[in-house]
Amino acid sequence: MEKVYLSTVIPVYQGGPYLESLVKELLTVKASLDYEEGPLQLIEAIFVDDSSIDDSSEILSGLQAKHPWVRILPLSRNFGQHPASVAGILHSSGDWVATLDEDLQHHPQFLIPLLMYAIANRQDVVYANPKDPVHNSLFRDLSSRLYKVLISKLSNNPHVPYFNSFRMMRGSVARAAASVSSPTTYFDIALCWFTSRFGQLKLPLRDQRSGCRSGYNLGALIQHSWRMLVSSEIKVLKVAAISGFAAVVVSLGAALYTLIQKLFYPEAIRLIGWTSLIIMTFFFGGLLCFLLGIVLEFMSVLVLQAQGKPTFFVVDRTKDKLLSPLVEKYRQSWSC
Amino acid sequence: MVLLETANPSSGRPLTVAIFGAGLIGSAIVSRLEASASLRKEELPFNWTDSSIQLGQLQDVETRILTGLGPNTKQLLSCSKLGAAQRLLRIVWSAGSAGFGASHDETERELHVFRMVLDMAERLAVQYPGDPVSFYLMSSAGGLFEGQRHVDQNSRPTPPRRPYGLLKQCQEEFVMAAHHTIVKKIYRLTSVYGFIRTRHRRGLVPTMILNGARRQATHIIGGMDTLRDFIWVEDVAGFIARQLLDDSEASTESPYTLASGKPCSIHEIQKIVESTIGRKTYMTYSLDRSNSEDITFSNSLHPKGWFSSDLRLGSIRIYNDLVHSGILFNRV
Repeated sequence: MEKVYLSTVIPVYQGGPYLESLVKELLTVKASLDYEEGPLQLIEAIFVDDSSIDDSSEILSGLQAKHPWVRILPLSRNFGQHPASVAGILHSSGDWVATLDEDLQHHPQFLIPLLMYAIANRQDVVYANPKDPVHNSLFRDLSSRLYKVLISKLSNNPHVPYFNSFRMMRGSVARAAASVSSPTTYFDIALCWFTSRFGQLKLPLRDQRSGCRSGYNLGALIQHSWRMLVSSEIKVLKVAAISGFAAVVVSLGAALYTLIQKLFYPEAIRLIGWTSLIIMTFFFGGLLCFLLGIVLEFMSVLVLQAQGKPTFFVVDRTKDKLLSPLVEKYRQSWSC
Repeated sequence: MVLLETANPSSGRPLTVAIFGAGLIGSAIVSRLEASASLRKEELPFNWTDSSIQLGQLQDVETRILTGLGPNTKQLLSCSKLGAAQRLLRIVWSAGSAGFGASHDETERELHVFRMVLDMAERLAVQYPGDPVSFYLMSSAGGLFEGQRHVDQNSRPTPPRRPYGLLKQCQEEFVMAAHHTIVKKIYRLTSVYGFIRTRHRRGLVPTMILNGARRQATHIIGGMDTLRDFIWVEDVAGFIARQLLDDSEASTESPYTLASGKPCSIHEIQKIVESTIGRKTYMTYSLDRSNSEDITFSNSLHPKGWFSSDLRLGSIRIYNDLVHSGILFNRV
């Protein structure tokens, strides 16, 4: 029987207290899939040890010895969650790849519903987003949401508000996006270069950490936000260029009007020099704005090329039909 | 074929290594042995295509192995008969003109030659029981596990899907069935890449680098998202050379699967090559589904002492070798 393989990627930094439970939950998913003997199989769980600061490395070694499908990818230093996810994705071989957090906030029980949602809606990437606020911090939840909406509007990318680290991705698309990701690339923006089939599923996700600090401090959050900003194609540049061009046109019109006035109705001009000065300022200001917009647009194109935005990418979705019969079984999990 | 004579670095026992096939892997093993120990080396003629002269040439090789390359060999041999210094004889099969897409006729021819070399090893093992004979076979993990993903200890070879897979399966079976005194070591290699001077079967990575640097298109039979496992020839050569020079004969680990454990798509290789050569590459694809099945391996298969370098490092080394050898500019 032809199989569809699922890989999971979990960056680990300080997840020691949760790892055993997480592997247990993953094992439950794997065992149920194996028991059903269907086309879907959880082939591997890749734990990317991002130079963890607790006893995660030892716990993972023990878990790997017990479960051969658990793989550890030790990174040489702490690179951060995004690069760790990219490394894990590049080491995966599944037809579908899911990324999830180490702390059980992203519960493995949602993996299959997420995948089935993607199949049912013919999507390449599905994000799991919380139904309710998740961080127990209204400020953080709200600022995160507002920032994503702002970037979405500025970059004209409607998928930005979906972005979350709990994602189900088509393996080929995920690996392609990971292979072009540089240290400054926001991985989810890179995903947008390879597909436009995005979706989100609202799920009851909760922060399971009690008393533990989040791995993200304010500095890391700002860096995270900055990476999203520089990876996006911000349309502000285009707006600036168009505004500059409009200013040049208006100033030329004003100059023509003033010239006609000077030639035919000179008595109407009471203050000599003021009009021409304002027109000149308006004209050169607009021209500078327009040229700067063009230069920045060129730079933006070069940056995107350097970051690896592809001209095209080919994807094979024929295996999805193997999972279609399973969709109905899980439809209830998202329709309610 | 290449014949090497040396003394084992640790025990001082005389060691003869006969390498059949001095292509990408064979020549890298020779270089690694030359770098590791002082040795005598001789290249002996062996025609891979003309079956009428192969038997005669193989007899010459056998005689040469017995008589030795240098003046001290006979003395060493006489010592070995006295049991004072047993000579170690290691025969390495790293030949293979038949690639992944080889026809049935090509694999048949290769299997015939392989059988003759194995017969020679058996004759030597029987005639000289005092001199332990080992046979090292370079097999193919891709050929044996075609279409399987995340191959691990529990995986079993797929029924051969193409003549090449059948060839590798037969070679392994022949080796395992060989005379009981022969120490058998089988190495299942994934996609090996590295620098080679000849045009023949240059491999994907060097071809992409060469074509990219020359602004020529590379044609891929398969898809952009096809996953394979790539290992660098220097890593393979280092691992095998260490085992060739090692005194311990028996191994419980064989067959060894030498894999990186990191699946790599054609698209990822393209990005690595582009960053290596500093320019865009041109690719064309033909959607031949028979060659676009993913073949990936788990890193839990890594044998003791095996280390796989990053593809970026290997890619840079190949580019440097292509530049320094002049191939990049001479259109060899």
